[in-house]
Amino acid sequence: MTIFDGARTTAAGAVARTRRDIMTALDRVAAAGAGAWDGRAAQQWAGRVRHLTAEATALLDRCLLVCEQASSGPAGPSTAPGAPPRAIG
Amino acid sequence: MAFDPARLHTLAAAVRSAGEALHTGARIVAHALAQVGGPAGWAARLARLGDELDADAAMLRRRLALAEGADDAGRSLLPSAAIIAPAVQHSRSLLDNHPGLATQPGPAAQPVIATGSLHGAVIRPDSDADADADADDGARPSDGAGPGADTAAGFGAVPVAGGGPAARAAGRTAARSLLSGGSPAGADDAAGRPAGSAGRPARANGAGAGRRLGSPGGHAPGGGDAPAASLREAVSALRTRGRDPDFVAGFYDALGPAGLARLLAGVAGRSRGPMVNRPAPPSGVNRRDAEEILGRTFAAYSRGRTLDDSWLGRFNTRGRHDRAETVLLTPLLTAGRIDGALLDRLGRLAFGPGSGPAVRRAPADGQVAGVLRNATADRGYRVALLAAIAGEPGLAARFATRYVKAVLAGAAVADLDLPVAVGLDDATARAWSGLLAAAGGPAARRADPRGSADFVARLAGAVHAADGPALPPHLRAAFVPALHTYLEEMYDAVTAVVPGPVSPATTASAARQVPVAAWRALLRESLRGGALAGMLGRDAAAYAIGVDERVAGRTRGWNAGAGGYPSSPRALGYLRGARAQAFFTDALGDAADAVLREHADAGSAHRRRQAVILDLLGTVVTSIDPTDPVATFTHLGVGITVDMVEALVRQRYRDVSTTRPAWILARLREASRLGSGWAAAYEASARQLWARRGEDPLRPITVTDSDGRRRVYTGDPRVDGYITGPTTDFLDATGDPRPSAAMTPAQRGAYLAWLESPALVANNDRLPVLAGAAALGETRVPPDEALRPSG
Repeated sequence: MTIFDGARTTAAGAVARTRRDIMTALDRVAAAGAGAWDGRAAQQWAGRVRHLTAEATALLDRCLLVCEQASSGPAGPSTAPGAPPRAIG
Repeated sequence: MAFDPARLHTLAAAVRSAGEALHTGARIVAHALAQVGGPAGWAARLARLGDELDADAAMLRRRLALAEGADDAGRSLLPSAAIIAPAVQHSRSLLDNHPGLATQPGPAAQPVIATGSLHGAVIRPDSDADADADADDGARPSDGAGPGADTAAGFGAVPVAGGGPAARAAGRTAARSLLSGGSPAGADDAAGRPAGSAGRPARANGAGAGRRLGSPGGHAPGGGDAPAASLREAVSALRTRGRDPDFVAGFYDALGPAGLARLLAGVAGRSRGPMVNRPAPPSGVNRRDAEEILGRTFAAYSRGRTLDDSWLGRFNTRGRHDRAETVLLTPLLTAGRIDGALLDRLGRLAFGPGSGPAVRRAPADGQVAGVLRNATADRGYRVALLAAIAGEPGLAARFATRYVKAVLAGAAVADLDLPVAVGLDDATARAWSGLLAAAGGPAARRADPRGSADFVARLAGAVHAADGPALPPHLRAAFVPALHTYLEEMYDAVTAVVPGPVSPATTASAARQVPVAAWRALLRESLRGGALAGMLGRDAAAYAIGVDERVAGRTRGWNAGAGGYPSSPRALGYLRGARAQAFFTDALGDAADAVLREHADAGSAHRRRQAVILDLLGTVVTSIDPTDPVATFTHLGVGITVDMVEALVRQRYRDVSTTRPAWILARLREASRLGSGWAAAYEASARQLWARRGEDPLRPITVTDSDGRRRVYTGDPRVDGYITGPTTDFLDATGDPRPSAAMTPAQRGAYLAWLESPALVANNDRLPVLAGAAALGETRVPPDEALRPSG
């Protein structure tokens, strides 16, 4: 995945995509877990996945908010143009 | 419930990819936040969530590997699914004996006709059958031709001793009143006689039968709707005349399997037929009372008749030939001692053919695929059936032999704590443990010596092959009776100077051929449960004392003569006794190591239990004095049961440290180690003694035998009577013993007896050195191994 330094909208878009990917993965876990556990273990597992999903969602939502606010606000020093693209991940 | 690894695979894969997504996401978020000046801690928190998912994925993979490992080790999940099959059995095998019943309405297919059995007529058109049955209803004496086809097919001509034809006729009448109660006019029976008499209602092959059974709203023949009055009368008649075998035989003969099934369903208040949710009419009798009486009388009846698959195939309330609604038998199983052959048959139906050498096969249709949670009634039936089999010493061992592997696999899989309900439920698992315990017990050995020995051999082999399975404590405790009953065989094998089978063969020959490693595995796995470890320790001490006493009894007065011998003729006995105790201590050490490892791996819930077990093992081990079996014997109590272990866990121990028992075990392990190397060394020295007899002649020794005779042992196997002919001649052409591995069992037996004979032992000048080395012990295993649980 590539992020263009300085493109704040791209940062927000990347976080949004990440959020979507992570939520999809966690949804898959919840779906697979529903059939795989039994009895009390099922409840425990469901609770654990729920908790994890809630925490990840909250974190990503906040990240997204910060990124979006940054992209709509005045440019900061960290958004100076001219830096070359960087590959990560 | 069958285990489906695919679900676990899917879940593990989903968790793993979610973990990866979180880690990737954390890196992206870190970069994004760095760009916009957001807090860096959020990305780290996302990464931590990813770590948690990684840990979950690892846990799932580990459990999956354990489950699959169980499968790979030959402990297939399939047989464990088979031993939890549903209790309404249907199988083609139920029809195997009488294929014509299901497919052909013609009389030609009915083998029982040839026997002259009256109700062979059942497969004729109904009118004929009715006519015949009417004749039977009249005054036909109990001549063995009485039972209906359904019953006659199964009964053969087993005579029933007792009260005579009149009693039997009375029994039949009592049953008939019951059968006819619900349909006084026979519903659609022109002859007006009870249509369901003689247990024929299950027939579905005649046209009339089809109509009766098939028409909705038509009366099913027989007494399913028996009014309360006739049920009460029947129960009352059974109560008063239940001890008369002829009355009982007449009653159940006339009732037939289908009639009995309906009667039991009526007593239990169960509805029958397709609309099973319909409330049953009140039976009007005290259920427990009725079931007790029926159970007692049916047990007596089952012992007088051969109730075969054909009979079982009709034992249902659905009018079929291929269904055994065995769950209806549940109350009868607990009320009386049902015939062993029938129990065996029921067991095969309930649990499949087992995993014997030749009988292994795939479970029948529908037994594994998609088997879901078992009904409570089914579970109750299985538990009752297993308890009934355990209570039949002649059957328990033979039966348990077939299922040992499956039970171990089922229990091991259940104990893996897999995320899906799998393996045996607790009640059934405990019932199996009870059966294994009974199969290894002394009563089973007395009743069925060969079956009992086979069982112990199979059990030891299966436990050895399973290689330290995770088993519930009650199953480990169930190994104890086998170890206790066969302690002589076990320690004889352990302390033998020469390994390998010896003749003359005994009835326990299978148990005599169990390798030492398998005995060791069985002892270790049993000790890991902690229960009754004290008793097993006492067994080792008792064996050592026994050997000592036997040898002393055989060699009384050995040193009365002039001149000293290089060693005592009893020295070998001491060594064997010490070896037996060291073997036990060694197994105890292995068990403690295993428990310590489990302790390190397990969560805190399990830790308490394991700490308690360790403490118990530590207590046992401090009581063992390898040099003094008598003292050991008095120090050890008989032991603690599983229930007591559980009570200790609950009550006394909150969070016990394992340091002290682990330390004690390690020290004693080091101190009491007595390898088996001395046996080979002794054999070599005895051979050398014999080889040098030319220059260093063996000195004859005179002892008083255990029967009181003075006897001289010269050391020559021919003179001393060990070699009696070619079959026992273990010497080769040069006069030296052949290698023991090349001997026949008879020769090895003679060789072993000669090696242990007073002259050979007393003349062995190396024995004192050998005993000293053995007492010093071997320290191959570093003493701190037990203190490093995860090593």
